[in-house]
Amino acid sequence: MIEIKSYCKIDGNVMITDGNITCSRPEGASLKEWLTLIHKESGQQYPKFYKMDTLSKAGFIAAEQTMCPTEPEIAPKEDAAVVLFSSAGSLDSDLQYFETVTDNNNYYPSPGTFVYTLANIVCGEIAIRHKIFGETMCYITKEFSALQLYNQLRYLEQEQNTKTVICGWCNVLKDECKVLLLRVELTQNQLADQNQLQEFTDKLNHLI
Amino acid sequence: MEKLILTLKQQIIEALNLEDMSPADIDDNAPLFGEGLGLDSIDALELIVLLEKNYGIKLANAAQGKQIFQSVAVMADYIAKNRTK
Repeated sequence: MIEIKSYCKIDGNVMITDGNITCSRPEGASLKEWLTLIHKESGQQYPKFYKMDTLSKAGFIAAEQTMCPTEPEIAPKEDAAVVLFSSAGSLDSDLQYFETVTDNNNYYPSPGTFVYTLANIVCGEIAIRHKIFGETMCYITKEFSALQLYNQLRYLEQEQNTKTVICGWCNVLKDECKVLLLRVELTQNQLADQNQLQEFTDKLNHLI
Repeated sequence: MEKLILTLKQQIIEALNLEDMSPADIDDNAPLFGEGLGLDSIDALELIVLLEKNYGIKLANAAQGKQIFQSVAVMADYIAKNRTK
C-alpha cells in the first residue's frame, strides 16, 4: 500500500504544503531569493544550503516541508529512499557553468557551480540532510508520470524493502520552478492492486 | 594591508556564498578550514580561482594552497607579494 503522508508543491509564486498555502513569493524577488528567504525564515542553521544550486534549494525546501524534522539530531534511515523526476535536470546549473567557460579572456570555471551540473545532486542533498541511506534516483523525463513513479515505488518496496520515500517532480530552469514532492510510506505486498494504482495516479495527476 | 584584507574578505564571502557573514565576522588570523569558517575542498578550489581571477596568481600545486589558505592574513600577505594585477 502507498500512503501519501505529506506533500509540498512549489509552483510559480506559491508554496503549498498539505493543501495549505505556506508561503508566497514576494513581488520582485527572484526564485533564488525567494527560496533563500524561505530557508532563513525557517530558522534553520544549515550553511550548506547557501552553496546549493537553485534546483537543490527547491528540492531541499520541499523535502523539509514533507519531512518536518523537529528533533535536533536526525536519525539515520536505512529503509528510506529518494526518487525524483525532472525534465530540465541540472540544465540551470549547466548554463551558469557554461557562461564561466565561454570567454577566453575571462575563463574562470567555477568549481562550486560545476559540482551541481548533475541532476541527481538534488537527491544527494536531500539524502544527506535527512540521513537517508537507501536508494537515490533522479530520472530525466519529458513530463511527470504518476505511473512511472508508482512503478518505482513498487520496485523499492518489493526489491529493496523500502518503507519511506521522498519522491516526485523537481524542475527548475532560470526563474521558473515546479516542484511536487511527496513523503510516502510503503506497506508490503499490496502494491499490485489495480485500484490503488488508479487512485494513486489520479491523486498525483490532480496535485501536479 | 588593511584595505587588502577587507577587500579579500568581501571577495571570499561572495565567492563562497557565506550568507549572512560580513567582513567583521571573519577573524584575520582564524583558520579558514577545519574550525574557523569551516570551509571544504570545493571552497579551496574556489579560493584558487579567486586568486587567479582577481590577483593574477596561479598556484602551481595544491600543496601551496595549504600554506596560503591558513588564514585571511596569510592569504593577504601572499597576495601582496605575488599579485600581477
